[in-house]
Amino acid sequence: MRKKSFLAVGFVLIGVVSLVSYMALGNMNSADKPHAISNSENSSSPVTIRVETDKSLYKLGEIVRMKVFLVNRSNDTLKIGPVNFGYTVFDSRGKGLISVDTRNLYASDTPFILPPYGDILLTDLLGWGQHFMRPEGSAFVTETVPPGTYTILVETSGAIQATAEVTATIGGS
Amino acid sequence: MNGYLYIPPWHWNKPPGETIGYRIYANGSLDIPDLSEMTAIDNSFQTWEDDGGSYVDFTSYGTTPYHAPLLDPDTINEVDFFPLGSGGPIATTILYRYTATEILLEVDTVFNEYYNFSTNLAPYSYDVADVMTHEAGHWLSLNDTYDLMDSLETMFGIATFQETIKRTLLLGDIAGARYIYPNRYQGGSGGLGWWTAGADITTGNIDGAGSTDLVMLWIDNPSPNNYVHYRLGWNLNANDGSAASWSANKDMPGGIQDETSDAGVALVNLDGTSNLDMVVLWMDTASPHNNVYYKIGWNLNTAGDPASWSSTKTMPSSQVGAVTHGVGVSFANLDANSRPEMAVVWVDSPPSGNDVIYYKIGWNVNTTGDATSWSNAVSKTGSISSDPKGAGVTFANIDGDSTIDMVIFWVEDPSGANHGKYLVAYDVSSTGTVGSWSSVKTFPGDWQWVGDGTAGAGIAVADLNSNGRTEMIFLWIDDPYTENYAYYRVEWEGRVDSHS
Repeated sequence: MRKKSFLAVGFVLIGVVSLVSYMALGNMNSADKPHAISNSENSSSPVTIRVETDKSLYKLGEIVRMKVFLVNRSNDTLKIGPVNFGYTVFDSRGKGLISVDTRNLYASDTPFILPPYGDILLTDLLGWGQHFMRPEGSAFVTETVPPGTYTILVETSGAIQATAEVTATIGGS
Repeated sequence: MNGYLYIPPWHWNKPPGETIGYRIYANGSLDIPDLSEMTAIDNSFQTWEDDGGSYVDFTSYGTTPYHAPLLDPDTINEVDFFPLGSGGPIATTILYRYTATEILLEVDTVFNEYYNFSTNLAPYSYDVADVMTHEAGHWLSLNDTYDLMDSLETMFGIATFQETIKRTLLLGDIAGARYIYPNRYQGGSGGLGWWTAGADITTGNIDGAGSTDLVMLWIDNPSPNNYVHYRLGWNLNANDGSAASWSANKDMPGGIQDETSDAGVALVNLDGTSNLDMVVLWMDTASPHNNVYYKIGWNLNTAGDPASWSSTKTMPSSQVGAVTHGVGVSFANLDANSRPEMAVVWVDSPPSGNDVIYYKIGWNVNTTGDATSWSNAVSKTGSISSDPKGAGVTFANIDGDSTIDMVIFWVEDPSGANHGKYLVAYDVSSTGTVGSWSSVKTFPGDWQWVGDGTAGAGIAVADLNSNGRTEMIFLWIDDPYTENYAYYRVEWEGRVDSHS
């Protein structure tokens, strides 16, 4: 199959930045550091997930970008079946604000191959625009959250059922 | 196979008559200059809409010049074409939900323009209609299935070049949509009166036409005595479960006691003639314990009228409580001898603690309708969380093995919307013991319109579409402040674990 030419000139939403390159950015200020790497360590599965946000402190309205990695905790190369992913945002009182999930149609029954003790990027498409939605009558409205600290619970389903949490602080203008 | 996957209670909060609108990215796919993908997408949504057993309705609101903002809601349900990178999915559907209620607020589908798409099965391309029909299933909250037994279904989560099988829904796909957005049918024309004190349904071939007929029975509760009435729904449609026609109201002669908590009805051939017999059972709310009585309408003719009625018979009821909220009856031959057994299920509501389900087996019911002996009452605790307003039971083969199962249905009546619930007693043995119990299954949610008040419930089974699997038919009597009406819905394929 061909790779479409316009992909190279810029329709990619979010640039793929590897974990290695994150770690190489030694002198960034603390608010810009990748944040809250948290995973489902208690799982007995050889595969867990790890989630990273691009920063820990966000301005109002700024998109909280996330990457989800599949992590192989075994010394075997693993072929992983289709994985869906999504997240729910909770405020500081634990109230769920919005849930976003994806359902993905793949061309292979094993779209992911994990090297021993390695990880691969599952998606860099996850982002939260600081919005939440609530029904109003038969319709619904979209609103922006106020400043505060929010917990984002990322969850995968399908071949890998795992969860991981990150927090994002929205600090005003 | 007939499987589907659904995570309750995700759903659109749209009752019948409301539609799920969508727009398509105006430029469509770069691979398809004639924009024929627009029609293919519309046809894909229409495929789900065409199933008569659910009320799914999609409406095209035309096109939009904007891409869908990935993972950020914009209040527009959109089908978009956009590159998501190599190694990514062929297409992804994004579902936005209100966390507290799991109501769907917005859904977008993005075709990954890294891949090639076509509407004419071009080499090395994915068929737009094939992919979109699958994605439209996600719009309804159906999940991908990866079971190879389901590999021909639309919701199978892997696609190949030039594949078109997903364009056509199979029974598993259809059963899933019908489970979440079921048609609800009224049990005959006209109401049942203002005061109803129990109801039930059962199925059989009464008119000899070859299709399943439905008997819907209810107890009218005027003062002083109560009366038993029934209607027949003739020839249930194999595709959607609707009745071709309904009989006029029919009556069991004479009144019964003046207070009844619920009723049951079953069809069985007890006397060995060629016609079915109809067993009508009711729970009289006597003190110090309620009493179960039944009568038999012998040899129903093709119009559903019995040739005669038995005298009133009694189930030994000393183990029945002082307050009950449901009763049902069903027949099966558990011990494989020449005579059938009758199972009577009831719900006790003790003064303290939660309600308890009980059942009792009447062994070897003879040709005059009397059980040779009765078992002790067997209890099932921990299943009911608020007082039911009616219950029913039916024997059925749910798991497909050689031992019969028993399904118990009830409608709970908490504050606010009522809920239909059921559980399966798997593998009822020749001594009447249950092999295992399922978890409690619930109608997916409040959008199932069971109503706020209920005055009776029942369950029946039939293989409506003649594919060897069981459909479950649930009845409830809606009890508003005015006249009561009967409604039923069908759970297709009896795949009670498909959505757990």
